[in-house]
Amino acid sequence: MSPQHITGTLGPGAAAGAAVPGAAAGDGTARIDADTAAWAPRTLHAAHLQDAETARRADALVIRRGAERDELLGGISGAVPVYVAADGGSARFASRLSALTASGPVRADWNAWADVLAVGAPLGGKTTFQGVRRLQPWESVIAEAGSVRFERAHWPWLDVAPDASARIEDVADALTTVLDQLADDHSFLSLLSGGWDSRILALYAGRAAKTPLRAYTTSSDTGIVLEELIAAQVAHRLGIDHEIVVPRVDRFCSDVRAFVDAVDHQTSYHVWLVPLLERIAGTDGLVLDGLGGGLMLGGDFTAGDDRASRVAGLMKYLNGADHVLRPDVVRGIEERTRAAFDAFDVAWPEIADHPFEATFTAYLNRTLPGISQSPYGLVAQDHPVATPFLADEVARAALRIPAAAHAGGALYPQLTALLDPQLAAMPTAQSMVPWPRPHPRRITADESVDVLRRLVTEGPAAALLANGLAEEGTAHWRRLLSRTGTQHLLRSLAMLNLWFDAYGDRITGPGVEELMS
Amino acid sequence: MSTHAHVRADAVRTVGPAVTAVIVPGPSCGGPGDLGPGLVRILIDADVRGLQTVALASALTDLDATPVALARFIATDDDATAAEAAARAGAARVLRVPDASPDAVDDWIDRVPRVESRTLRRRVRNVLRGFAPVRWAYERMGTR
Repeated sequence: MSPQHITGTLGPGAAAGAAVPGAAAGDGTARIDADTAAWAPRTLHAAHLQDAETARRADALVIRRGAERDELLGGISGAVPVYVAADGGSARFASRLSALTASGPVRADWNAWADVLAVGAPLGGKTTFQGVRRLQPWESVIAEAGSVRFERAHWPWLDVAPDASARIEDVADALTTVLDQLADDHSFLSLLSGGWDSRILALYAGRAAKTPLRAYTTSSDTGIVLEELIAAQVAHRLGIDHEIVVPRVDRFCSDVRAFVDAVDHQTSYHVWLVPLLERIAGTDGLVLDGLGGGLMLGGDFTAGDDRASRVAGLMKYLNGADHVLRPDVVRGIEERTRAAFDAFDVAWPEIADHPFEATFTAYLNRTLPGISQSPYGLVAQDHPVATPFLADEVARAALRIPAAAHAGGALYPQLTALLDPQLAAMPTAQSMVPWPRPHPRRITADESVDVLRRLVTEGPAAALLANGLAEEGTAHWRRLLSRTGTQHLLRSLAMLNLWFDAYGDRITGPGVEELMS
Repeated sequence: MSTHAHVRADAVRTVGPAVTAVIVPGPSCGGPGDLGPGLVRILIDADVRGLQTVALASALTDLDATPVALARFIATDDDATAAEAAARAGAARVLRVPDASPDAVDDWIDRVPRVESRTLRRRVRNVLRGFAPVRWAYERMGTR
């Protein structure tokens, strides 16, 4: 397994194949002390190895072993997936879920699959497998006295108090520190889009880098090419090497398979990123990903609607679901996912009245379960990865700025202008997108429609389809794939069938009929 | 007379209001191999206005040029290039033409479909998008 991934055991089974503090070179762990090791999908800076708390705040996973007690201590952002399967007094853990499901029978967690369809990914630490959890931010697993328990201490980010004197310069200083530390051990690869997050990372990383930055852009399959063109303008402005990777229609099927495999069938977002990852395979460098930027700096979800409508917004993929799914399936999925949001309110009571309630709700129910799989599932297969906007010091500096100041993405140009006012004034691709979009997406090409239709209709998930959909023609399927909600549902159903394919006759327990209310 | 008003992307500094298609010759047809700043501005304008972009490719190597790869349609007079373009972009985006040289565009440009950008419905939508709440909602579609 590459240093970007880890696997191990807590409890009595730890002697065999466990992640051991100070273990042999190549397993990616770094020693903190005789009993404690840390792991992250990148080289851990020496400054982050002073103690367990420091390592966790650097988003490292900490493994601590004692004579009577083993602990797995999760990182502060929770963005790096760590999966745990408890079995009696021991627990296996891994950064790749497939490492925990490689053998033996598996059972679907149909609540998790409902979340995948409604929201994009399993919520509340669930995975699509019963018995396998994903650690939440600041969550721990303790194996002692013949049992395993999960504990989640109060999440420090909830205690960041807004401060009217907090400045954007503080965010800049924190971001600079983080990138300087990363630059000590890595050259940088930028996944440059037409948006703010990657633009800011490229700008600040360029100042920190010890070797020239290289930037790559691909299509996010919106039909237009503004992302690529704006990224080209940004790269030209920053004077960095830039390459645009154009996806191939004839590779769409393999892109889908590659993506869902890389993210262990937890989400179907970001299939479009696969061609870019194939292009940079074998290229040295740590990939900088802008995960969390939209929440910490971009003002996404900080203002506007009430909580109920924000939750409804998070379930947006069910809009028009009756065009894809049977009515009883739509009801069943909605019931299960609304229950997941109720459980969220119980599990995170501190969030409901928090000044950044909308930010944290979106973070814990969209960014973490779904979007984090792009850097830490797909990209981390072959490259070290960092998500600087979720670095502890950057997040805290951003959260200290009162929520109102984040509205409308106002912090983005401010942060950019500190180093490059002209870059700050350049429009983003998103701000220029024509409405409605004039050109069809790759996923609506006849060839891609055939691929999706086959993946959806050939497998158990076909039983969930709306009456007559499987027999509809290409034009009908193209219309469904041209809309965000119905496209998401079809991609997710394709992923469900691919999951059945991957696990074959090892799957036990009830099938897709569980999703019917 | 062609129903499309077209210009060559590497030969203009701006795209006039009446233009409906922007032609991007591949390197073998005398066009650019890379995206220079001026070409980027032209192609951004084309995308924002919903114009068609049509690349001219007479050789397989043309398909590797970024300006060609980003075009909405690829017109080619070469069978091998047509097959490879279809594999990359999908058959619906490939135009097999007798002559893919820049001087012969008028002979086949009407085969390129018009984008809805010029319809009354789209113009109404564009006006509505000028209202802040509508624009706010639209800009959040597809955010990570």
